[in-house]
Amino acid sequence: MAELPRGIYWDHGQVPPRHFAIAFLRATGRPGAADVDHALTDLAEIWRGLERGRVPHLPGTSVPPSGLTWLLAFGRKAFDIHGVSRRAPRGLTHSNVVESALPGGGGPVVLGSGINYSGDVTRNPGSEDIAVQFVGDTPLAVARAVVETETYLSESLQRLGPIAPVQMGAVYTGFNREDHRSWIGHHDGISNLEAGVQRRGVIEVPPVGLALRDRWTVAGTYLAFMRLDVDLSVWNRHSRAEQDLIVGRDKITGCPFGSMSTTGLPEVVAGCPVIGSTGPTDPANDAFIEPPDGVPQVLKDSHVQRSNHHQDPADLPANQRFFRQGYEFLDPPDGVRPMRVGLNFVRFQAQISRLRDTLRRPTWLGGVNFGGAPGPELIRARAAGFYFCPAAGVDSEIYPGQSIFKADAV
Amino acid sequence: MHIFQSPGLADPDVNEATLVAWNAQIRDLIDGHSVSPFFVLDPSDIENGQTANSVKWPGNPREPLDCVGEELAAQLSDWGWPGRAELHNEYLEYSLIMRPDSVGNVRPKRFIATTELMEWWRTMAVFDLPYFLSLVKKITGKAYSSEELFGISESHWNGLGTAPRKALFMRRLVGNGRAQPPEHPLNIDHVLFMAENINGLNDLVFVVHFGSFPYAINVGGIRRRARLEEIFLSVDRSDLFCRNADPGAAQGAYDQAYIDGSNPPQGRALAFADPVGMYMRTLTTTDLRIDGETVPDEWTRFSRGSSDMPMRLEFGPDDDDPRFLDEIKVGTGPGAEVVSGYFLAREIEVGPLVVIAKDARPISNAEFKDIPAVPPGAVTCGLPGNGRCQQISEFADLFENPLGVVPGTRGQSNG
Repeated sequence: MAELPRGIYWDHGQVPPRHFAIAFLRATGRPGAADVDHALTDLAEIWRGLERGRVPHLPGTSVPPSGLTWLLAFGRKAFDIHGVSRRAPRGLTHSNVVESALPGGGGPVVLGSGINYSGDVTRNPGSEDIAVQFVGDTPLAVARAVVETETYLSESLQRLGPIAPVQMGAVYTGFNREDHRSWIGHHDGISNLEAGVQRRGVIEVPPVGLALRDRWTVAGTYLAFMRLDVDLSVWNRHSRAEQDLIVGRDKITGCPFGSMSTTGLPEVVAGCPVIGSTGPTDPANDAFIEPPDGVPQVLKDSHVQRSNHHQDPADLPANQRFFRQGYEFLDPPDGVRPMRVGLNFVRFQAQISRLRDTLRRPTWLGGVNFGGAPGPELIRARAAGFYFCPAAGVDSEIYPGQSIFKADAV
Repeated sequence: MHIFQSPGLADPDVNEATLVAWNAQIRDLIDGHSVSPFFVLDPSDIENGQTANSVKWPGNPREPLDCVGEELAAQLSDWGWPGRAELHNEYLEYSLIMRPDSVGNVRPKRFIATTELMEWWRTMAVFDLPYFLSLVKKITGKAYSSEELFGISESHWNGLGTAPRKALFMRRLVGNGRAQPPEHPLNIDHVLFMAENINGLNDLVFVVHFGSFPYAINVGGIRRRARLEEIFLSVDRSDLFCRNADPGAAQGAYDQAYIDGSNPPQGRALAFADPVGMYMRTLTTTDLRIDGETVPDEWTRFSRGSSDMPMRLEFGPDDDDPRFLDEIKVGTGPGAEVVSGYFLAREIEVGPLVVIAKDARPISNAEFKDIPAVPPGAVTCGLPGNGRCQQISEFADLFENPLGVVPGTRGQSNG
């Protein structure tokens, strides 16, 4: 029975593993669907083996699986491969695309958004045919999955040369934080959707409102990815009060702001934090997880207010809710390149239009880089892409989405 | 002194009688419902009130989207008066203004949308006919007489009581759904106000009032907040759950009546802001392109309301411009599609302005409305067996086969 694929931690008691990698795979030369299917079939077997602690070049041994899971996703380009059996879902077509980076670098990720590619990004590495997310409890678990994937693809190249049908492009790694903060110091991700039915309703493509050609997407989900650099030098030039206004929460307590004082400083919602509580994720502070409605305009312009208009039910498309499962990153300096920190922004939703609308609409994040009024760029994208993750558990498929490449897997 | 001015503050010069009647309508509608612990008539009674950000939704009809998918939903919704009368039920109605091009093909030139409440226009006509006629002329560019619009002279109109005037207005300019269009095409041609029954002041007051109670699921003396589907199912109105507007308005009210996470449970007072109306809160055109360029700013023309409360939108080139609406594409690249009225409606967020109190208070035991729990997913919108989906499917059949000709029957109608 078709169900949401693994790798999305939507249910009660599920916690995303600590470590993350996303690998982008491209179909090169002029492979046919059968070639890609062959590669993915082999890779799926490798990944399943890794989930059980089996490493291809170490037969008879086992290694700690460390909670590894993999999640396969297909970009619009995958549906242009010669011989595919399906058309791109409508959710990946026409306006639901990321923009290409400008030839000279930079440019908006989505038309109308305030998030641009970094000036040195002249080609978007996040827009490929296929993406695969690996998550696991240890850095080794995800690193090994990337290495084994690349090893297989390299061996394919040697075997099939001169061009293997599938090659690895960019890979990004990350980790999540036990302090529930981000690199700017403020709390992050504490206002995510409630686990269980609410998250599932937002993530899962429902069986209604679909064109005939898209009926196969039921129980799948759309993945949006952005690799976002955070410019701490820009951030640290702002005063604490300015930072708080941009975010919409107090930096230390995580309490949302509900009003402005007569001296122009933001005031947290009365009662927050509850005396004796340990932080914003303490259940005692549940009443303050969501930022309040009915606040002055300067607070409406903050990041938390712009990115979430408090609208329920969550699964109503008009309310533009989505489920975030992001991972921070650190690219240490290497003596030539400076340090980079930021976020692997990963979110799942039943319609990609929700992210586009969030990034484009004026009272949401339209034209604004992060929060507050349009101004200096705090975040810039190094890569971005929209993908579709097919449902798992379709009986005839060896890997989710095989029916794209193999008609008799339908 | 009136509580509420003209919607959008668009008609400051309307006469006193109109404002009196308008305020009386609003008061009667609110008073006609049971007393709510949190919904009040007068926004000035709310201490430290602030305008809520949450009570808004996109203006595109959601029902056809769920029932027949996006492509057909767009075609049906863009289908002139039939589409407007049948489907535009999210407090935004629109029309595509058609014009012939240089070779005589009739093509969409402009998009016109309105969120104006029919009741306000009716009140103006009933109580201030000269102002109403001057307003019609101002918007349409054409002077209409009372004889032309209502079939009777101004003096005859003034001799009627308010009830017959209202009835005449309804028959001549509003109609009753797709099967009974208005006798005069003024509102069909010029999209002056919303004609659909469900886009009325009555329903707006109903749904906000309906949501303004602290509904709760009480299990063994322990209460939790209700989900919206539980609230609608408790009064057997699952149909309202499957739109944009009703969930948006009801949930917006409910979120104040029973604040999420509050322990003990608390609620905040709320009221319609002055002026009561339905407004276009945002419009996004950043990814619309014509000839590869962003559409000109002057193609977006809001009117009928102050800058933050517009109720009318004209979008597209004027008649002097040789370009047409169907030359606008959404996005860039080879896959970019031609813009539709449905797409533009979706890019407009609409909603009333609601004032909420800064401070909350505890909900008393007597104020709770305990309702039955239902499992999540009890309401699935868009299923083919759903009554509304069946209606829309039949409407789609009409669209695709307007002559009622069944293929293979030698042109004989099946009607």
